Amino acid sequence: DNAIEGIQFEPHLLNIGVGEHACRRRTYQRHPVSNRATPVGGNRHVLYASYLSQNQQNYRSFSASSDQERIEAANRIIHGLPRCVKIVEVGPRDGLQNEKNTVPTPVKIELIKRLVTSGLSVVEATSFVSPKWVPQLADAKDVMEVVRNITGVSFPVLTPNLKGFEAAAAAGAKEVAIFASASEAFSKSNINCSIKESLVRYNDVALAAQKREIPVRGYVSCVVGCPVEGSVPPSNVAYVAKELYDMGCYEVSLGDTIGVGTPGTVVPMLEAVMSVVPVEKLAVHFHDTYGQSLSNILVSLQMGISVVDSSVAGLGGCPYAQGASGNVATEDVVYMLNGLGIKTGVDLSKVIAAGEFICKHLGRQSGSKAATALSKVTASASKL
Amino acid sequence: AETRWCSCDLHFSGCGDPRDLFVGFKRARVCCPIPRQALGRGLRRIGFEFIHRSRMSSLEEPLGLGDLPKLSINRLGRFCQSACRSTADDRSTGNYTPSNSGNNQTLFHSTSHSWHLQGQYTDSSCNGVDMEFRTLPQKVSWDLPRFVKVVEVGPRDGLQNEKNIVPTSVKIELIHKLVASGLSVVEATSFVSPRWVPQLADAKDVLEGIQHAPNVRFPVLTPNLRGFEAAVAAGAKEVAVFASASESFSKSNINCTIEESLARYRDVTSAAKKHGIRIRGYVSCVVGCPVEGAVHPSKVAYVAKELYDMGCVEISLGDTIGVGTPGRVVPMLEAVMAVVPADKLAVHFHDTYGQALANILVSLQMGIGVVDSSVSGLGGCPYAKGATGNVATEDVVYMLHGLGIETNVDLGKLMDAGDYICKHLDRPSGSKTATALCRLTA
Repeated sequence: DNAIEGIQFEPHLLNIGVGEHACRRRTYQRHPVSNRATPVGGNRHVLYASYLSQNQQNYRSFSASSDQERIEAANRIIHGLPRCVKIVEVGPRDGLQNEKNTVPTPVKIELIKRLVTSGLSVVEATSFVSPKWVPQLADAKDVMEVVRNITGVSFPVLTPNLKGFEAAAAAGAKEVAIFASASEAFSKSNINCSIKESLVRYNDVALAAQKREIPVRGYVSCVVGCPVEGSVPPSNVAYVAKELYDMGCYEVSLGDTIGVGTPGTVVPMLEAVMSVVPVEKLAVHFHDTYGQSLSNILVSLQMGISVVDSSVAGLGGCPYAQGASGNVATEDVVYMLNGLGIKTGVDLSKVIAAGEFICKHLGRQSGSKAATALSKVTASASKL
Repeated sequence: AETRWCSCDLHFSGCGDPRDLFVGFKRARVCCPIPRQALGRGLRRIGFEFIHRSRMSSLEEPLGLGDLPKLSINRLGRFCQSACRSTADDRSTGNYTPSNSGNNQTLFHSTSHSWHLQGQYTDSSCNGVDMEFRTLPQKVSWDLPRFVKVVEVGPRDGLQNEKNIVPTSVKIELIHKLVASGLSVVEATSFVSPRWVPQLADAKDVLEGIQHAPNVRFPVLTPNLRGFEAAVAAGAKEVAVFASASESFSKSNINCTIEESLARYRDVTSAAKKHGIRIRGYVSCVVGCPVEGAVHPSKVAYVAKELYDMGCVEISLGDTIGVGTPGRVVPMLEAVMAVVPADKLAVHFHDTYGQALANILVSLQMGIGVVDSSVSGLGGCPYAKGATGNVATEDVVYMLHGLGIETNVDLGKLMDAGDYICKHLDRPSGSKTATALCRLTA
């Protein structure tokens, strides 16, 4: 499913490495452009140089330097991106958890199997929280029992505390996930304790997991905005992310829980976090509630992030805005990454098939625009 | 706690009483309450940029504190880092005001909506842990335009592709509401034969019915000289012509080759020049064609240049079937920008595959400053039944405001316009922003 098959483009423009096998996780190229990391007030002229120059210069006669600038701009925008991106599929957990209709265990298992065949290497299988809070995932143990036998794929499961962790380990989980919030008010309203208390809880989980050699994935929620407090300072996010990382999480996923982020708020947040946690340990988990997730993912890639969480068919609404959408759809993310020439290992058509399967059972339409378009369009229009 | 959408358009907690504060050397009206100490240091530091910015923004609009997060990313990023590093300096010089440092419970001062102004966050959030904010290499291109013009195509491109036909009065009212939200260019209608586009058969009545505002333009589509003459007779002051970058699409859509269509449009443009009427050019299928597949950037550049040379003041590059991704869009823009100045270009992305906002973002990064969009994402895709078409203006404006880019568009009023037309079309909004914002608890 090479998105650019058969097109006569200059290869250098599209950054497709022909015959490239080694997939480096972090491929940031330093370009020989002026260093913009100067103190406040230094490069003001750069900020509106492009704006002013567009209006003042006479573009009828193009000078070589403006061509050069353009090519450099293009280089910065799409050529410094990671060669490979790992997609973490959260549909069976984050997706189904936020759907109104509960899906029977065999359907969940079938969904997970289909997602695995599409090439996804990490699929969040379920959550060991109390069924009182999340009835949709009450069958966590049963799902885990079947899923643990599938090899070659990681199946992290959510464990909010030690009790959940013990249940998960007993059910055969080989990877767990813990959730902390960057916003105090959200932490209190969502898991009934302050950030500090939750981190203490998770520390216990992390220690227990370490003893059993079970890797732990950390999530930070409300990294841009909180439904209660409003905007969240990036330093809070950096603090929580660092704590999770120091506790032993092999990866920290930064979640824009209510989807209000735009590249304007995501970039400062990522800058803050990346200064305390290595970028290859970070993942981004954007919600598409305001339609902003793909542009947020794009700037994250430009910043060097190479792990993206998404949910097949955009499963999972937003509990804070009735009827609004939640997770970004895996199909849309894969479509964009394919178009950028970034390897994901994921077969788009098979993910679309998995999405169709689960949407039929949930009785809802796919939340993925790419899936909707591709399933209704004549073959020739999807030549790209 | 109640969440309300603040009039700053940026954040969604309660809005306090307006109050006067000194920002740099100017007095500004601020719409959200923030303790003076937290403001003082941050505002002094960004005072200069703020003054310049206040000159560029409309003087009628109060400089809400919500405007501050709209500062360009370069500044934000650097400010954040330098602010964190210099907290220690501030303490030593005695300027530091630790309003919350001892309080372990509140990591975030609840009334402070502008995170970057909170000087003490290093302390309270990290509990005295020394957070090292290294200067990161500037990986992302942040030379974004300060101002982006949003060209609203809903009344034409949107309604043209909707199943239900809307009465003339509703169209006129929609256009008025769009103008009221601050949009300065609203594509009003199209003078094509009603046989092809029955939804816009009332073109003349619409154009005659809209109230003309001083700085607002109402381009209308004119596929040939006859349509142009009808448009002029109805009072049009700006027209638009459409050419395709793909030969097969041109043949199947307007029944002639690209060259023949360009010849037609040369007649229109020379007639327009005689009348002193502006012309906007559109190039369709700039990334992909429903018949041919991928379209080579050089063809797009050719058609764009032809349109530009014949006198179009702006060329809008349209990804007609929405298949573009940033990987395709950037080479295409590179090719076009080599022959047409960037300030004469606009981008017109369709959200059929959900890629529009990402494409718009890279276009901004490349230096494009005009974006076409359709209120509520009106207009489905005629090539994929049930799929979406135009990108929704509300979503675009949300992103632009979040990037600190001025648009002069009021998101709340824009959503009103979207609400209005969706009610009449009896369909849900195609804008995720509008859906999310109207469903939040009031």
